[in-house]
Amino acid sequence: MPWRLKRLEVSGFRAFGRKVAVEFDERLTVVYGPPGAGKTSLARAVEFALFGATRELPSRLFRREDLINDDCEEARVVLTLSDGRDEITVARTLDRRGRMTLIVTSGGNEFRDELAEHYLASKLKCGLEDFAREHSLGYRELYALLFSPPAEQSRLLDSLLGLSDVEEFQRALSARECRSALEALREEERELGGPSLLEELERLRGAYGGLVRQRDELQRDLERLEARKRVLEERLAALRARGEEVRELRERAALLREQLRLLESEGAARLPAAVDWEELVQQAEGIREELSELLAECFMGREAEELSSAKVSRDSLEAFVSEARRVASKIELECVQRLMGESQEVKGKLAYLQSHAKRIEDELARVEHEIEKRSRLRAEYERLIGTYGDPAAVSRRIAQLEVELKSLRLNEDRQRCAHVLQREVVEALKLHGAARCPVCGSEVGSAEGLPRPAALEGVRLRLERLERELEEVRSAERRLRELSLELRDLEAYERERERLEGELDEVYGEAEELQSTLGELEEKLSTLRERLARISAELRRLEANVKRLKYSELRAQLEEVEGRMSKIGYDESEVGKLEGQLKELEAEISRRRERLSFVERQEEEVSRRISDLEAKASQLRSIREKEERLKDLIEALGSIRKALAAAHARLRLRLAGALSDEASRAFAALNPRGEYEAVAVEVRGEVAEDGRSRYALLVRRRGGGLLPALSRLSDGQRAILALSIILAARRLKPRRFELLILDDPVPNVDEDTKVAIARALLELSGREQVVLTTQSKLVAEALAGAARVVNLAQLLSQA
Amino acid sequence: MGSSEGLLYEELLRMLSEALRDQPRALELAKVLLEAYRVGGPRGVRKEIRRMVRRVIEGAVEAEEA
Repeated sequence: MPWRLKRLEVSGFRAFGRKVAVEFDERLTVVYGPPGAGKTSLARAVEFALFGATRELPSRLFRREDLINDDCEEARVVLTLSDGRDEITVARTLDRRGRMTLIVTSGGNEFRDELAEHYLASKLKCGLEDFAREHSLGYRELYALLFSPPAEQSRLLDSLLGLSDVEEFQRALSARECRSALEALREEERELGGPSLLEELERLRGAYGGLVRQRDELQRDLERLEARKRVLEERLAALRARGEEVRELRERAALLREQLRLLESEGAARLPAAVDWEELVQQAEGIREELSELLAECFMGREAEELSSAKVSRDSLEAFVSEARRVASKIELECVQRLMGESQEVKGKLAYLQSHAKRIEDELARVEHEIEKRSRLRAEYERLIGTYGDPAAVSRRIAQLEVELKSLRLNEDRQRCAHVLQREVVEALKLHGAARCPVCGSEVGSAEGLPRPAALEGVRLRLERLERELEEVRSAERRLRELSLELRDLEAYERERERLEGELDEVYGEAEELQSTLGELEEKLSTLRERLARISAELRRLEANVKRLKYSELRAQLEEVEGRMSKIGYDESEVGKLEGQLKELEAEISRRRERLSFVERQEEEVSRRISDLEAKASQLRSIREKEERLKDLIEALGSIRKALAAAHARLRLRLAGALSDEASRAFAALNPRGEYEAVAVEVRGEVAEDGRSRYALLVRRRGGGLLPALSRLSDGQRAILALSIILAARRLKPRRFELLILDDPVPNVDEDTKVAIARALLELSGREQVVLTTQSKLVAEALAGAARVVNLAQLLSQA
Repeated sequence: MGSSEGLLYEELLRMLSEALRDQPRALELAKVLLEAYRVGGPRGVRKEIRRMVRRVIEGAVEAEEA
């Protein structure tokens, strides 16, 4: 079963402030109410639910926000559709900020917004315009069918009859796409070059053949020239080989002459030529052996081995002389120098030993001098000991003498005191006038006349003698002490002398050995020099002999070379001639090669161009094939359009007739008491600029002929006519969406006619769902038993 | 047709078959395009024509024929 309306919930939408729910009958639902009750709002609510807009919305005077009730913030419509098995619930909300939400629920799935719009469109397969034209009609739409300009009227009728689909199909059969593609292909063909491409291809193929022939010819020429060049080159090579031989011989002769000149300058020509190579080799062998021995003696073992193992031959004589000189020089340089070095070293050591011995001898002389000096002191010491005894006895004698001297001095002092006292007594007596001593009775004389006591003199003499003796002994004691100190080093000096003498003996012994070594070294050096001088003399002799023999040989070689040169007989001018010919030939070959290269490049270029053109030609063929196919397609489309136009005309004619019959029946049913019995919708033969045939609406008066409908019918009859045509068209053309909402379609007819219309709709509702809104309570009451009747005013009051 | 399953389809097909009986290729094409219109409307027809043109341009026809 097709989709039908089941339930509609509206709130905040146009006339519906509060929520109102309407249940629809599967066949006929009559919604009645006074003007402004919301009948049209109900019809528009269905449009809003299904399409998110209403037919008025494109108008400048009507905004989407105007769909929202003035007392509400948002409009909400929930519409439930059913096909008898499944249900689809469409819930659409619009708020004052213009935000719209859509939720579609179907089979337990919920889709929102954009996805929901897609889902809904896929189910409806119908746009708002089609819906408004075919499924939801008011008196304006009915009148539009009658009073629209002819073109619009034709369009509306075509739409009602389904012919607009044929037109639409016809329009869709446009070959524009094919022509664009064809034009693009032609442009591509033009870009490829079109016919001139094939001409160019043919021309290039011809040119390519010419180039191939030219190349073959050039290659043959080149081969011929190359063969000639090879012959010339061979001749020239032979000539050059002879020239080369002559040049080599000249160089050889020059070299020989130079060598001879050198040997002559060295006096080789004046040397006696009495030896042969064998003797010289033997001589060289002798020198080699002697040198080997010398090397071995000089501790140059490795070189000695090398030299002894190197056999001298005739060819290596000169090299041997050089080598022998080098070896002799090396021996002199290394061995003699070494021996001289050793000799110098020994001499140095000897000189050192001599200077060392001198130092020891000087030291020994000093030590002996010290010993001799102390020997003399020792004699004096012993003499003093013999005179005064040992130092202890001398000390004791000094002590004794000092005691004696002290005693004598005391005695002398006493006697001198007594003499002084005597003189003082005499003076005192004389002073007192005493003539005699009261003690001894002797005459008192003068004090100077007093005699000195004899003992005092003896004491004095003794004292002097003792003092002299003491002085002497003391002097001896000091001397003994000094000598004792001096003699104390004597023993050390004697030991030093003994050590120095031993050391001196050692030095002398060592010097003697060195002297012996030095003698040996000098003897060895002398022997070596003699042998080297002998070898050197031998080498000079050998070298002179070699030079002489070499000189003889070089002369013989020079004579042979000169003989060969004169025998070859080389002409240099012939080479120049041949070279000139060869050069010309090479230039010719080079020119031909350049030409060949040029031809090959051209051939390659032409070949590449041919390949390109062939590829393009292939493309061109493909494009032309495609063009043919497209032309076929365009032609087929043209044929289809032509056939379709004819079919369209025939269909229109047939459908217009059928529509006339159906509309006549409907008109008669809706207007039983009217004076017109039939309606005719005729297709006129004229075709307007839009390619559409015009329709003519006619009515037949009872018992009369057809007349133009609009000029004969009243306003109410016109509305009935329009409704009759619409109902007739719906009989002829079933719709996928089997719904017809009639929003008070004929408000300006009497109540009986309205009831008649309602009954006709009841008959129609057997095929599709019909929703009729009306202001007529009579209609609602007349259909109360056969249809669902909704009292909108009551519903609003209950909301 | 289009948004509706019209009886016109059969009638139209009959008329086209009669008109194009001498042009089997055009008739075949008409059937295909009519079916395309029936299923997808004008967009379906344009899409089918575009597809045909593309097949020609891309050489799909040759491939199919091969």
